[in-house]
Amino acid sequence: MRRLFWILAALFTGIAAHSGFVLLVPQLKLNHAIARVSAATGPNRFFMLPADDQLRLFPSYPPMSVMGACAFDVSQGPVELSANLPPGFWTLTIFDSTGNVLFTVNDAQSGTGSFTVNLARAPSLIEMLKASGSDEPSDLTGWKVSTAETTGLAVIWQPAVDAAELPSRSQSLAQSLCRRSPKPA
Amino acid sequence: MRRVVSGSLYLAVGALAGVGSAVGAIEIYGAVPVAPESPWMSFEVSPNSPVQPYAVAHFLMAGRLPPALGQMREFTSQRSSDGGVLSSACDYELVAAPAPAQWWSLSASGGGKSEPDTVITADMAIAENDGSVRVVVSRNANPGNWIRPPAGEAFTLTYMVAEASTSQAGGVLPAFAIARSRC
Repeated sequence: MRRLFWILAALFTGIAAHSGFVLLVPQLKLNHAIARVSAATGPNRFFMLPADDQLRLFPSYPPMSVMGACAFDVSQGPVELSANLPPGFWTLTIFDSTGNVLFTVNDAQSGTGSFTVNLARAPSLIEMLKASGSDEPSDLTGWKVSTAETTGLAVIWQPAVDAAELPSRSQSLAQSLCRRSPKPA
Repeated sequence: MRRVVSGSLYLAVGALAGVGSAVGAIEIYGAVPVAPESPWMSFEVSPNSPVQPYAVAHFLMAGRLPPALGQMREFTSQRSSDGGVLSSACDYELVAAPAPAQWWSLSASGGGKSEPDTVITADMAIAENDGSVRVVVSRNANPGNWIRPPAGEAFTLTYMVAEASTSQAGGVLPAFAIARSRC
């Protein structure tokens, strides 16, 4: 009987260790990677990803690419990401801190290279229940993305056909802005 | 005292088995063959997939981010179309007929690192007269489209293709057959 108890305890420990490892260790590795690439700028600032970080985070993307990113943190309020990209293929992908894709769009889906994405923390169940229920008008422009995780990484990628295009594409992308939203969500 | 030691041993074995099975599951469960006879595997990062946590963990554990669902799909292969393990001691010919309609990239990685030495993309590739695309994977320089696999024995081919639209998610299959040409 005592042995059965310990076998069951070992089984539950194994299940907990399995689930904990799958859910926590990859997330810790991602958060470490995000902290490393954004160490110089900090959260809610747009920065260009150097070539070696591009290769590390997106190894199957071509080396002739420009990538910019923003390590966002919406715990203190909404964050807005604005870009004005030149014509050509590009993608915007917003990952949360668990590696899930929150939002993604490309040039064809967007229809414009000039856009703003407003990132905000998703309201909790209690906050939703407390809400008045009236449709309050919003003065936000652009797309709105709500996330249950308060941190993550937004990445804009644009490939270049030849090396001569890289400086101009890099210059355009570097004009992008990521900042705490001045407007309430 | 003996009971405590014995009990702790049970728990330690359980915890080790849990972590070991998690590491194995991240490598095995996330990858799904795209077709019964195809050497290409796909990682199901769709939230609807029951193996999604393992598939996402597969990418994160390698220190990289998963492909954006609806924008890009990524396939990997460690075998040629005849079932042999891809080895840098051999040359391989990858043929897509017709050429993929969407933007794509092909790379070879291995030797304990996920970063490839060379990447060839739809922008760089030269198509054949019949509209197909032929890519040679060899340690030795080759004319035309050529990928150099990393030194060492086994390597992995990674094929990434843009999805035309979100409605086609899951519908894009790898166009390249992998034929071993010389060993």
